[in-house]
Amino acid sequence: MPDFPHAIDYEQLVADYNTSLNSVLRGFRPKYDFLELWVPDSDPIRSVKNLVESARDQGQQSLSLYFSAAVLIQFDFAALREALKPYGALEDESSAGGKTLYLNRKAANGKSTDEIDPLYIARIMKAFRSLAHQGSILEDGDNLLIRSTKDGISLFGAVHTASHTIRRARFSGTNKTVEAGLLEGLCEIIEGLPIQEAADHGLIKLEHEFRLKPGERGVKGIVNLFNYAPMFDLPRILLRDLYETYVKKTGYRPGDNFYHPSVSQKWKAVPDQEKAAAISGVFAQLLQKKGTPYSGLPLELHVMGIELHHKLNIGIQGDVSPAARAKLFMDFETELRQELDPSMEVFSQNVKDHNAIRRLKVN
Amino acid sequence: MSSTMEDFSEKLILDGTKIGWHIDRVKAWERGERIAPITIDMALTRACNYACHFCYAMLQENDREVITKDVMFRFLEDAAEIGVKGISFVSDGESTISPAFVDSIIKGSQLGISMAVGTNGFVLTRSKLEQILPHLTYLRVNISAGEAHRYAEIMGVKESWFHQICQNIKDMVDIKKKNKLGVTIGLQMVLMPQYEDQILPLAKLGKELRPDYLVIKHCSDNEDGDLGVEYGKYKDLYDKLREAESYSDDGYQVTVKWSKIQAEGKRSYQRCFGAPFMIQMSGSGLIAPCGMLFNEKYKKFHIGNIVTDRFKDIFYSDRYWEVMNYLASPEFNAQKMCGSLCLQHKVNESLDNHIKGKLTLVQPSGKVPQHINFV
Repeated sequence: MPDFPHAIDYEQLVADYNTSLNSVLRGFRPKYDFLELWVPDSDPIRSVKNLVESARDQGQQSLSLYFSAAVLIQFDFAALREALKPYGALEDESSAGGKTLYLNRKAANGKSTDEIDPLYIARIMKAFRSLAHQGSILEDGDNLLIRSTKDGISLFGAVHTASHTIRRARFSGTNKTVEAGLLEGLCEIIEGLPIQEAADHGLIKLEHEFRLKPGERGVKGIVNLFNYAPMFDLPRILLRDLYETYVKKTGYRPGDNFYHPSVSQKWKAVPDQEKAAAISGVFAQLLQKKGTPYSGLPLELHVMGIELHHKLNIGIQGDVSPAARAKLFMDFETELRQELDPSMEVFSQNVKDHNAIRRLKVN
Repeated sequence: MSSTMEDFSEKLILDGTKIGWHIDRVKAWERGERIAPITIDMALTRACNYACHFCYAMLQENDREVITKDVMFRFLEDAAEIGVKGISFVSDGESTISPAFVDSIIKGSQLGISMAVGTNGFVLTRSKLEQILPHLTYLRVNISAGEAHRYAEIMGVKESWFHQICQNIKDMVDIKKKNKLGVTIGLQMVLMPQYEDQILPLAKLGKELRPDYLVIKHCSDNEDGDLGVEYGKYKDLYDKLREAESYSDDGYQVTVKWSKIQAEGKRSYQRCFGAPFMIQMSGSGLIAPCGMLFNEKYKKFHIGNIVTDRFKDIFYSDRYWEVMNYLASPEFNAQKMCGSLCLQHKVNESLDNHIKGKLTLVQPSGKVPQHINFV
């Protein structure tokens, strides 16, 4: 059974069910095949739980349920989440007064039965909800069209051969949540990249961007191409083959890869004072985050300078241990990259050599 | 060339990496396990009795703590327990001037760790050498000139110190020979293009003093180029460097680190995968993935300090692996965010090519090279 791509409106589902009870005499069926075992219950939590069990028993891997504001006032949403925990990994999102709940089944070992690591579910779902890169490319001006295919799933690229840059990327051949979600993310990442950079680092960028949080990892040691979740095999193979196709078609022989993304024009255009204010805002937010060794501490940020729009030289005043201070610097950089510009780098103040003998030369 | 020299050059890798000989650890890394470093490069102090012009340590200042003998013994015990194989006292200070120096070498050796030293060699008198040489895998003397007056200029000391150093090197060679020790005695020239006039005098001096080798290497610089190394100018020295290599003979090997000199300070890779295999520690006790990140400026990469915390606790901490993962992630670009030609450079190159499928690391065949625990 294919994954269900769109959120089911729970209120509507119950309403349709009740209507059918009165209007259908024989061949009574719920709206979706995988809910044929489900019967609504007057207790919304029990009702949803039954629904999830029905979907599970029919082999449904993931499920999205929308609860309108009118439904939400009938039960405790947190209690629902708690009740559904044993059925899989949960994410929710607020919209238009309601909430959408995303559920993905997990096996007993915490890994998805469909090889979806819970670490990536939220981002996969998000990408899957807006498949802007699904489709094919049949022509694209003077750009060279290339394609790679595996098991009927294709990745397309329109490459500007003078700069070897991927101008457009598309995929087709799958509507499955994981495959389509990952390929959507991959296309978004590689569009605008030199094809060599896409081939070298496209996959690690995808894996990194699709984590629940940047610091979350699926392994104790180092995440690398050898221990990715198996679901990344498809984008890896398609991307590798796409690059090889390009090399075959063009005879492209690149040297070392020195690609590095530049600072965005948008961030460059922000006046210095506003930059400083935005940076301070991110710092204040970071200190409020719970569960860190520096959360809630009365620390003061001093921005000493911003070089080339992205190299931030700062001082942090206040009582914090050296270990927590080091972590704070790294976390702050991560936050700035997410909130302001991906190019941001954070440095503490440079310290001059204290050695009396060596300093003789320096001075 | 005699068979002896062929064997020697086959075993002594001075311009390359031995990571392939640690395939078990590479495989564990591939599986996402927490691997212990094969090699740790460290110093026992940040201080130094020299003032070399090329000294990268001038760029590495950080919050100092004092590494005592007790700290070192605890550290060495932890290192042995988690599986560290080799420790070299090089890094950002002159370890021989630390009171913990001799005891630390002996203790490390007794724990089964391969120990090594990089030093200016000035305080290594005969009696001290007799204590430490039996416990060392290699001892390498930094000497960037072959003439006393230039030695004094380049290394920021009195001319008379040059003669003391030459005597100390003779003693090293003599003790090794007399006691039939396995230790390798080496000389190292850190070459700035402006030291061109000292390449051949030093190669000749080495031939007289009879260490096992002389290695001539590039000078590293930080990403801002604060030491002013002009990498483009190394090309002009190639003929002289080749001539220096011709001074090699049976038992004296002159090697130029061509791979790094010819790289002109550039890196072919962007991710740093080498740090978990070989970390560096400052003479302040600071643990950072790399010496180029010691300065307080790079606080975000600082992991812990062996003076205040047990090394094994630091190694097993989430912070250690957070930093290591950051270096291996798209968040980091070694081409843009690091100085040039770091200690991990060759390991990084190999692992990056391995990751990209350009090279497959497999267990090498043939004789195990010397100094295998110093990757």
